[in-house]
Amino acid sequence: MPDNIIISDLYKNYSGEHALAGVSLSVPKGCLYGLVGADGAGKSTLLRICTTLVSADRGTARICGLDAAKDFQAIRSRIGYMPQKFSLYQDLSVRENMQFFADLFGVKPKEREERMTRLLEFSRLAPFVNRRARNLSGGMKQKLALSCTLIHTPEVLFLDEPTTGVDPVSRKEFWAILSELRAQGITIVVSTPYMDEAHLCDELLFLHQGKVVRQGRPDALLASYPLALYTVWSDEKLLTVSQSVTLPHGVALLYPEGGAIHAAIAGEERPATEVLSLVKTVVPGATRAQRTKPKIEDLFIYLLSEQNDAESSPKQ
Amino acid sequence: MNFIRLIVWKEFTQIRSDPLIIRLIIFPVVLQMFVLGYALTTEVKNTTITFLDRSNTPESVSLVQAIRRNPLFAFAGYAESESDCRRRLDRGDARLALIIPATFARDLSGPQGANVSLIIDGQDANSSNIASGYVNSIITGWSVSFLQKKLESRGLRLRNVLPVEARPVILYNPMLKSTWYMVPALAVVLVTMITALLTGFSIVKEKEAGTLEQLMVTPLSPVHVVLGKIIPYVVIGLFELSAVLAAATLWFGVPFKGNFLTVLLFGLIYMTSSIGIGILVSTIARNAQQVLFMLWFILIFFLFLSGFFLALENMPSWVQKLTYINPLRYFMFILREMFLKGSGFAELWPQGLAMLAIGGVVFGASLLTFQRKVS
Repeated sequence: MPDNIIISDLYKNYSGEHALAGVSLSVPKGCLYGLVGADGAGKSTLLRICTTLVSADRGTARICGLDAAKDFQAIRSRIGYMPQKFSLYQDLSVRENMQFFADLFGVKPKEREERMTRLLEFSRLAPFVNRRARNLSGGMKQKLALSCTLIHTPEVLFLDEPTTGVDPVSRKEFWAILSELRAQGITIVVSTPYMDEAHLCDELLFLHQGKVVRQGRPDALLASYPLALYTVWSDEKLLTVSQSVTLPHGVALLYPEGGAIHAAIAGEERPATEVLSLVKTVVPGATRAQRTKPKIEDLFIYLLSEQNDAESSPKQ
Repeated sequence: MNFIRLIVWKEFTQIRSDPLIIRLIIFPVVLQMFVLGYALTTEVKNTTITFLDRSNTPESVSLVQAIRRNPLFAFAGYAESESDCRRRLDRGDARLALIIPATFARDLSGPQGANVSLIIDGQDANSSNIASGYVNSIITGWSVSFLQKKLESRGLRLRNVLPVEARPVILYNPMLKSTWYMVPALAVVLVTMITALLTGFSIVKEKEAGTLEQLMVTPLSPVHVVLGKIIPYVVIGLFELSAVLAAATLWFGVPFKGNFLTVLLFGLIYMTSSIGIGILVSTIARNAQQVLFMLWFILIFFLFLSGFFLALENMPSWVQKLTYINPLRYFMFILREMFLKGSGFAELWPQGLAMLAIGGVVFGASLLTFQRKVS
């Protein structure tokens, strides 16, 4: 399948600070592509360059075969962009918002009604069609924003943290909608701070301080997790992520995970009892340890600590 | 064109759904029109005056009566002594005090003539000057009629003795009503406020909400956005102008001698400036508070340097030169002339041209900055 988005060697500075420093990626048609990274990693900047809102200092971004720096007018009618902040007209109703964006993209009236009916059903907003956007719940607002970005049937969708601040049920619903869209052949690039969501993507890109740290399919990425991970139950709560510097020899990372603790051991896999006694030296309340499979969140924490280590150790 | 129509539709739908904006369009204008229409008067009326009549003769009483009968003055009682006069001025009970000496009646027929003294509270220089001028002219009138009686007793007529007399013929505002002069100018102030503020707010609101960015990822261009956004406010501005003109003629009874369509056309030219300033300010500002602060700052300058209540001729020449770039100045002049003199294009084209030039520059600059800021 041809690649819908090809980005090579993008650089962008904001008043001397690197927002992006040499990012390259390609997204095939119909792919659900996830952008993951800490706040300030450059996710929003990358999306804003792809959507022609900002121009890159260096490098190229080709969307649907068009250059984002030159053919922005043509790109704008073929993509949909949903910024991080809800940005529809709060004082217009659901229907008025959708109508406005449909007309803006030159959707013919007859087709407009058809698509609106379909999108309203799809997003389950049909009962609220005359409600003003300001009176919608957070999840409904995001679904309305998505419906408005979909009204002109874009080939590529760019979504910047679409589910931030949305309740868990609505989040699940939203992602169900995204996989339906992918099934229709729409390419989706989505940034998210939620690692359980990242797991639902076809491909992931880890960004850190404007650089690509890892990219690939979630299962392949997880297979590359180099540490042995254990879940440790404890009477005591661990509150922060601790790194190897302050930990007993052999324990690379120790961090809270759900109600328990995750301990990542460098090198060979060890018996759970050995890991438990190692952890007990720092968390005396630890009671039981068990080997577990890493998830995307574990990978993310590992990648972040790796980056931090690389920065704090002197450069040779 | 379709894009612009779409934005206009959106803008009107938003205005309609926002009761606060609708109230902002109607109430301040109505209130300001009717309160300020009465308040804005440059006439000096009801000046308080006290008298110290030491003469207490038919002549002195007649002089006091002449002043008291005049509706421009409010009688503030008789003083008992000079220090009482001073006390009344100190306390603010009276702004003027007229002291008639004991020798008044005798001096009237004497070779030197009689003197009276007028003590003036000079804090408000302008109205004190005017009030003391009134007192002087009443005293002169009284003296002339006194002289007339004296001459008649000798068989002479005043006309033969007084060689020159000015007979004023007052044009355009024969009753010298200051409302006739101020109310048309008030229309300009109200239209400026409404158009500049509403345009500024509507743009900065989209900026704050992030909808402007959303619009920029659509096939719309910044020019579409600006033109689409201002058309509703031009319509509202012209509507308000007409409403205020109607109130001026129907309620305040200011005669309107010009052509209504010409007023609207000049209004349209003027709004390129007022709306342009609104756009410019909202492009620079980040939120509504900043828009309000900047516009307040700019409008105060425009208002004071427009000739609204301070005559431009009295200002230092460098300030006068500054007023040439003030669009308010021209529109105010145009409206006053059209109202009272019935002037039209033939007389007012230079002011129209100046407004057009200023509006062109302001509007062009606002469009350019907007374009640069958003894309």
